[in-house]
Amino acid sequence: MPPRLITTLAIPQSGLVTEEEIESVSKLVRIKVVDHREHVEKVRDMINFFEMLDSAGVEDDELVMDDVHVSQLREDVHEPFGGLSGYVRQYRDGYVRVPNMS
Amino acid sequence: MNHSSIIRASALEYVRGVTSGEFTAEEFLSETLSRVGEAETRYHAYLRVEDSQRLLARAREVDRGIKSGQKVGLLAGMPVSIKDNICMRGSRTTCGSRMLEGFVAPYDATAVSRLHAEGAIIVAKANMDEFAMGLSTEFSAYGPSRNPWNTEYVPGGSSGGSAVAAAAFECVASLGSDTGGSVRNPASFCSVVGYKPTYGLVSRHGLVSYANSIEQIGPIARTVSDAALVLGVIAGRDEHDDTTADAAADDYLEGIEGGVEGMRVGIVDEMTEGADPEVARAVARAAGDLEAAGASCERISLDMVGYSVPSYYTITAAEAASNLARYDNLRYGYDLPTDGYEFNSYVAEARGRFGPEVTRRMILGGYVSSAGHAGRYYLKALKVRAKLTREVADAFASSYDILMAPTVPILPFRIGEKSDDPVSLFMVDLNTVTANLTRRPAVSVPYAVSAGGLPIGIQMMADSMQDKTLLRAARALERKRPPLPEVPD
Repeated sequence: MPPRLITTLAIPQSGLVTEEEIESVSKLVRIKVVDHREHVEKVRDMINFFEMLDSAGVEDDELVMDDVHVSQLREDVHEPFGGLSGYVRQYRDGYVRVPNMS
Repeated sequence: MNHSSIIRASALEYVRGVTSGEFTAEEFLSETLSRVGEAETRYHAYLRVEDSQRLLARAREVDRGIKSGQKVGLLAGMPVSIKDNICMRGSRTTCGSRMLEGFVAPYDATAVSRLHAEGAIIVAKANMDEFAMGLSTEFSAYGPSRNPWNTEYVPGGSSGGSAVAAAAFECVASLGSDTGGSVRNPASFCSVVGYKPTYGLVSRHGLVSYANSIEQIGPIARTVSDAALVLGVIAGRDEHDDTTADAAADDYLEGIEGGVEGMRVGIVDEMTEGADPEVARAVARAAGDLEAAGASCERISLDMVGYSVPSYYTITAAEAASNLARYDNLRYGYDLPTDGYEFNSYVAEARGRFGPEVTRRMILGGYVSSAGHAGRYYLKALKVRAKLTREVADAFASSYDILMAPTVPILPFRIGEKSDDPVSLFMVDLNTVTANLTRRPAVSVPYAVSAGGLPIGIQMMADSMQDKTLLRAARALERKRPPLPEVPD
């Protein structure tokens, strides 16, 4: 049965998610985590909460996606947008200055 | 109506008053700006108020138009505010984040263009949780807004600034955005009307993306009719947003007084059981009011509602992680020199300055959609969404015109009370996310005030594109409810 009472919600605590995994993902999405407790432990709690989906009984359901044929999409037309360089932060002499790409 | 009270006018009263010469647009705007100056010291509804001289000049133009019999638009100089994730050309749009502190929008969102075309005067950008991630406005990088019913309490979120502004007479109406209840939740907490349209009814062009498959712009106002008036202005097909429905512009006030005689209303068990006792009693009384007005109400069970919150947060986190990947600090961002950084470490350093909720959701989104975990979380969440959509569609097809529940199952909470417990905050969304996941329209109607003086809202939901039916039912409840106390001042 799905949980009904928000006051008595049982949040799964499987402990399957490790802090190392979360730290690895944070590197993949390129976000520096400074406060370990503030982020990693809470993200682990959130993921444990998502494990409630395991009891939804949808494993065997087909996921039907809405296919849209390319002919139904609008034409891909380039529309010039003047003044875009004004919105680039580090723009100098016609070049965008970016960090080292190595 | 004297000038100190004109700002309490509803949108419809405003339009009647200004077009009949009872007051001028300039007088009304001037009173509104005075009110903003006084109220903002307590509520912090707004992040920025536009230049008052420019606004007043625009109001004088409207007045000249009215006097000379020119068309001045349906809203005729009405002061309106918009959430700070909706772009307005030449105005800063921060999304409540330091990442966008200096960003000036180069174009108008379609909703903004349509408000301007009907003569609205947009007075301010409203406070919000950073990138709309939150439901209390406590995650704004610029500090929380405060609930005008009790300033120690949150106003809800993420469109908290918009709801506070409408409740505290700092504008006549406001636009918010609703991804999981972000219009309805603060409307409920501040005792105003919050309307989330059917997905695709209102263009998202110019709304800074958070979760594209779910979010909608919606009006917040002091009455159901006012929300309908604003909805009529902003709704309709937009060539800039291919997800907009092929529907012509419509008058959502038409038939709004038609009542609920013969309507069937389902009260959703999973959204009502376990609610705060005062909230649950309000739902029972609301059902009684609707029955007295000729509707029939009965309980209904929707099993998948119990899984809606993890499904919603999984899907939105995945979409958010993708959307927020654009914030690489090159086009806009923090004042962080590039010298000495390798590209990835530079981006990570900049993103490390996001607020706590955005940081967590980005990591979360990366995790649940990653190759090793997508089947366990993201795909399962999509399946739950599909099954929930079938359940809701069946309920509307077979039995019900309206599904009803408390907008939020608990009363507004104190600032800081839940901000350290994100999972507990998730569950505040229990009753609102279903409309987003299933793309149905839903509205929060102010219904009662608790013994402790905190507002309680009732949520009503209808089938897709049945927005007029929904507004008619909401208006019937508004008419039948017991009188509400005035917001304290």
